[in-house]
Amino acid sequence: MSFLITRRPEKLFTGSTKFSRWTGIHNPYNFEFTRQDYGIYNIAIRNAYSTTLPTIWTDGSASGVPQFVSAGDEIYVNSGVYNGVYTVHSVNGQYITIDTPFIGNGGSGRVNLIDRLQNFKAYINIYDAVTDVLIDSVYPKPDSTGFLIYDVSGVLRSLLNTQAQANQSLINVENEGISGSFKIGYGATWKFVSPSLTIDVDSGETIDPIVYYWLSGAKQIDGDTSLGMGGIGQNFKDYVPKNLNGSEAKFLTMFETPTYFEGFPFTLSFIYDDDFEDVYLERHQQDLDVNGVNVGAETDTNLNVTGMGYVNQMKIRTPNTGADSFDVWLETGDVIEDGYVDGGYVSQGYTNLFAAAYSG
Amino acid sequence: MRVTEKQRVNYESCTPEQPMQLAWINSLGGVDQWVFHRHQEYTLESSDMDNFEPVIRYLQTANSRQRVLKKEGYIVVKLGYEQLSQQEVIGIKELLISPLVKWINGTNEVVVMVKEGSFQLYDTGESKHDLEFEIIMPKLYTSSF
Repeated sequence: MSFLITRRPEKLFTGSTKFSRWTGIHNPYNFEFTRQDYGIYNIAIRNAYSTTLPTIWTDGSASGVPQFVSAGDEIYVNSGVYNGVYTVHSVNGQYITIDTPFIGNGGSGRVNLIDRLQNFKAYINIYDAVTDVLIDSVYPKPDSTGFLIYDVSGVLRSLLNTQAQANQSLINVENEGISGSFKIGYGATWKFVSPSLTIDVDSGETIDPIVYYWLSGAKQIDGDTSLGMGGIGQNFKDYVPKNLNGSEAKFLTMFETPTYFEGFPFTLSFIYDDDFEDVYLERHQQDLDVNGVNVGAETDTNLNVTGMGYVNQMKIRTPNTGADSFDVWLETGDVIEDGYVDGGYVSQGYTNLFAAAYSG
Repeated sequence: MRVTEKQRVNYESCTPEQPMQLAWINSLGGVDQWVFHRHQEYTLESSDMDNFEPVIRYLQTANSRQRVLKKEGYIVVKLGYEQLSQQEVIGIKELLISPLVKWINGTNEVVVMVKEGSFQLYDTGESKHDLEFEIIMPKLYTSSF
């Protein structure tokens, strides 16, 4: 018996094993789950059980499982040409023969019990990935085929906090009100029903270790299907910098060419991905004159790593005299030697206790 | 190793007359900003929220049939910019759908609202545009009965 995540809101970067897991929460943020009571290896004619009816070879153990299925039960089958609800003809260990004409062999798939396994309900818990605090729990129900697509964007929108922030003094500041991260835990409950007993069952919660990120954004429908559906939901892959050769992430601006007005604060927003845990990000800036010729030397400045995992607003250096425009980009810099201590690693007051004990 | 595209940014050393800088959250989840010039100084728009009719005991001495229970007041500022390119108009238009627009006033930030229906865009030829719109400053505290 299993209830699994079968599709995730993520997109793979070409030629790597790295994913973009940033999605705008004003679009659907969908996870796909599938209920699978038994897996199917294949469906074929097996003369030992029936010479005319198809027999399912399930992944149940040979010692009497599927134990809750018996002749006359209805089951849902999804395996190649067999897709629907069928009546069980006979059960022999891990083999189930179904009462339907043989129309061909079936490949891998799943069997879900209908009569014996009732009131199947999923539960999904959404946790803050930084604090592990539970944000919300939801109790959706898979459809008749065992599929469940759940959109977590509604839950995440409750975290939005679009208050004005104080004027920025640091080179980069994370914007926690409009971005963040989460993890999900999931499981299911159901009733086993047989003529002799009824049991309430809880699968137990599985905490998915993968961290997902949200931001207060929305990708617009642009009709571009060239990239295909590498994931579900509106992923911000084009805007996610990665520690990869050829990474060409865009900044989060709607201007093709923004304008810096002299004497006024100016920031560029970007996604600070967790792929830069071990290396500093640097802001590079090159001033240009009206003909596009360099004015002064290219400069670089380390960013603060505390902004990682959020949308950041990055300040820009005041351009040199004679500049008409400038280019800004991010590069990887030095390796982070010491790393940084995560919150809660050393309890508050620990060093004071140590000092007191030592002096006493 | 470079990990983002090179973002070209224009540098405008001429500050508009009577400048007013707005910053807003765009639909990509980032923050954009622009310095507009004020076309019009503060205009006060007010409206009655509710009235009541006091009981009149002596008609001879009564001086009103209605009294204002509460008033509402807003300060409205008209902003604009001239000779904008197409891409600048696209960026600025995000103001209309932004959940948060701030007026950056030195080190202070004040949340304002773009007045519905006030956005006017004029085509001046050569793919240049002028625009005007109004913003509503925070609601005024008013005295009420």
